[in-house]
Amino acid sequence: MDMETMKYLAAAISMAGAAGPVAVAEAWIAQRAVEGMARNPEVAPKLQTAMILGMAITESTAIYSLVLSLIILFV
Amino acid sequence: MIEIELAAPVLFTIAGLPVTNSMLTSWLVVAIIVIFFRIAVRRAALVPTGIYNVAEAVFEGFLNFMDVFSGARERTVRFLPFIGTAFFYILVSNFIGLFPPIGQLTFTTTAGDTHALFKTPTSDYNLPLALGIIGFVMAWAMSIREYGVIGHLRKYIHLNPMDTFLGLMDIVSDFARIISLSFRLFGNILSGEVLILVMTSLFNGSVAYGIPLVFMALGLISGVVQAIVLPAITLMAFRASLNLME
Repeated sequence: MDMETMKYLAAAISMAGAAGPVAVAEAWIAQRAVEGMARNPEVAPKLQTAMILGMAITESTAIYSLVLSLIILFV
Repeated sequence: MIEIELAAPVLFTIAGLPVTNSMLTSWLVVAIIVIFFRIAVRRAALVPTGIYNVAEAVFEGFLNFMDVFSGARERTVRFLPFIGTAFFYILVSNFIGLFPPIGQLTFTTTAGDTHALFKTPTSDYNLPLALGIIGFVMAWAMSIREYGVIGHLRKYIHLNPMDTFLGLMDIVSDFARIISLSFRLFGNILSGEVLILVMTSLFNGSVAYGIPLVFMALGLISGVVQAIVLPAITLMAFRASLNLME
């Protein structure tokens, strides 16, 4: 297996490995946020804000793998 | 293979300073922000109308949002110079890549190669890295100004070796915050650009009028969210450095 193939494989595995757990984690965040909103609708805006912020920070771990993949492919 | 460059190409030099296309676009962003707010403020009145209404609505919404992270309006106003600037700069930078002329105009350098004249500033790693470093230096500088160099170091180094270890972990987490903030913004915006590029060139460009719209909308949403998250995390870092976290 030559270097080019290894690079493509590395980039693909890096992103694929990160995307799964991050998707599950963001789904959990959304689930708890919606449950909380259903239980107590008047604090829904605060919950929504916290949910968006939590999702942005959780997503950043997958973004690290994405940047790694991009660097492997293009640099 | 589609041309995706991570490093912004140098277009020309002004008095020895190399100017890349993302630098040029960031100057355009600054011009847009300054002109918008100057025009808005000139038409200020007690009852807001027109463009001043828009500026005030955006600014007030931003202040209300940041109040959640800072705890009090006067703390938000105290840190507003960096937080507000970072928010508007990142917001307009993320949006400017979606306007039609940006990305279409090309420029041929004196060496003969052709590049795009404008590029989204936040998709060049230099800008998010600069914002992260400025936030870190400001947090440490404010803490040193408040407590002195010895008092600042005493936050991290204690007599108890266990506490000193935790303090060193705090220093590492301060540096890691630079990396995480900059990568978050850079990765989100760059991946949005790459996605739009790939979707536009799908099937040799025959679906270039429909499908990329969805991904441009996604890029808008992620651009707004990232413009909120970076100032919010920096605000919490400022609060922590001045021991205002109660």
